[in-house]
Amino acid sequence: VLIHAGFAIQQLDQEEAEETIQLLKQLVEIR
Amino acid sequence: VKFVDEFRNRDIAGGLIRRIFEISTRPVNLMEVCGTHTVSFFRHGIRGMLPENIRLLSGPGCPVCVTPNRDIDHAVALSRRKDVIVATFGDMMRVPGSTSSLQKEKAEGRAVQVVYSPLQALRLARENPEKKVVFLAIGFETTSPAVAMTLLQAHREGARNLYFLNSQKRVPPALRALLQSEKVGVDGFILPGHVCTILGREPFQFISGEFGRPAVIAGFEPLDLLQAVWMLVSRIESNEAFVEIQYTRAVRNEGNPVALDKMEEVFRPDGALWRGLGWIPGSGCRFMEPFDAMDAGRIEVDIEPLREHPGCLCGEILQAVRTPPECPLFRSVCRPEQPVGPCMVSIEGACSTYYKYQC
Repeated sequence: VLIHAGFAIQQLDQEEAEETIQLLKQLVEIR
Repeated sequence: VKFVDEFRNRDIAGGLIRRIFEISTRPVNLMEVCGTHTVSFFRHGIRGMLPENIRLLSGPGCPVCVTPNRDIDHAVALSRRKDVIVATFGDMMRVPGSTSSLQKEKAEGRAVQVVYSPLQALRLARENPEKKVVFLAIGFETTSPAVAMTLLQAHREGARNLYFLNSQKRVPPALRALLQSEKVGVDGFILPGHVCTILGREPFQFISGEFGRPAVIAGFEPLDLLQAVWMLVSRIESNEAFVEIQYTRAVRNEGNPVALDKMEEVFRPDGALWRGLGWIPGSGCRFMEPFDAMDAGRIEVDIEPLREHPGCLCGEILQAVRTPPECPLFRSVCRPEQPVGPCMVSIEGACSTYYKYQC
């Protein structure tokens, strides 16, 4: 979770995180 | 650690930098609005790895830095009352006002407490029923939900001795003011991921819709920043302007509806004074009527006459009109251990960051 000033303001989305990494790997052509 | 190490991958970072070099053909000014981004660009050495024609400008996104002297003087004046405890985030302690700071006042024996959350101020109020506890509420939309929740809790409890010195700011009106002022040419914006976690994308659409500039809502790790730069340069090179989300693992289009509801219940937009940017309509948060009684403005104090340090360029630095090394006080008179302006105090301030990372 993202915490700010003592409050959880968002839960991170693992699928989106993995998708972003895959997208970046494709962009820079890393297998 | 999930969500951190993966976004610091050296090979992907190298590849992204190559991609940026491949597509970048013209000079561009990109503004990182947020102080956290400024620090991250420096800390990870990204500035030095980008093409020379890409210029990064630090924007007004450090809440400590944009808090005007007037509000610091007000907090100082409150701390001088014997029946008041001032509760504040630590960064605000050392920010100089006209002639004093909260740190100096604490050294003189005034009741000034550092807190990490507004909820701690509520606890202080419960523990000290004979005192007025004043929380110095600074921050952007990332902090406002926490202030709103605390205010609602205090209201529910019927707390009569908790007050808020309200200096909260809203980011979108400040960006509109920057674009309208045309003092600095910004070709694209890197928008703060944490603020947009709350607000979502919509409040920033005017950047592309009205001003024709692209913007990317970005996270704070090296790959987030490099991807954001790549996205912006791609758009600028194609003469396109959209507001896009890079930080998809945290930011939804609609933001955080629960937090937005709480903010709407407690605050309404009002004009606010920003250091450097002046008075910006709609950029502040005023309490809704049921919460007026918790406004620290109701506590009677004598605020000293306003005095600005004549040599300090924080105001211009916050507008990206100047950079910290252009300030005559930078490194000579103004240093982190003896700051003249707030941008040297805050760990996210542009002057402090340049001082720490730029030799």
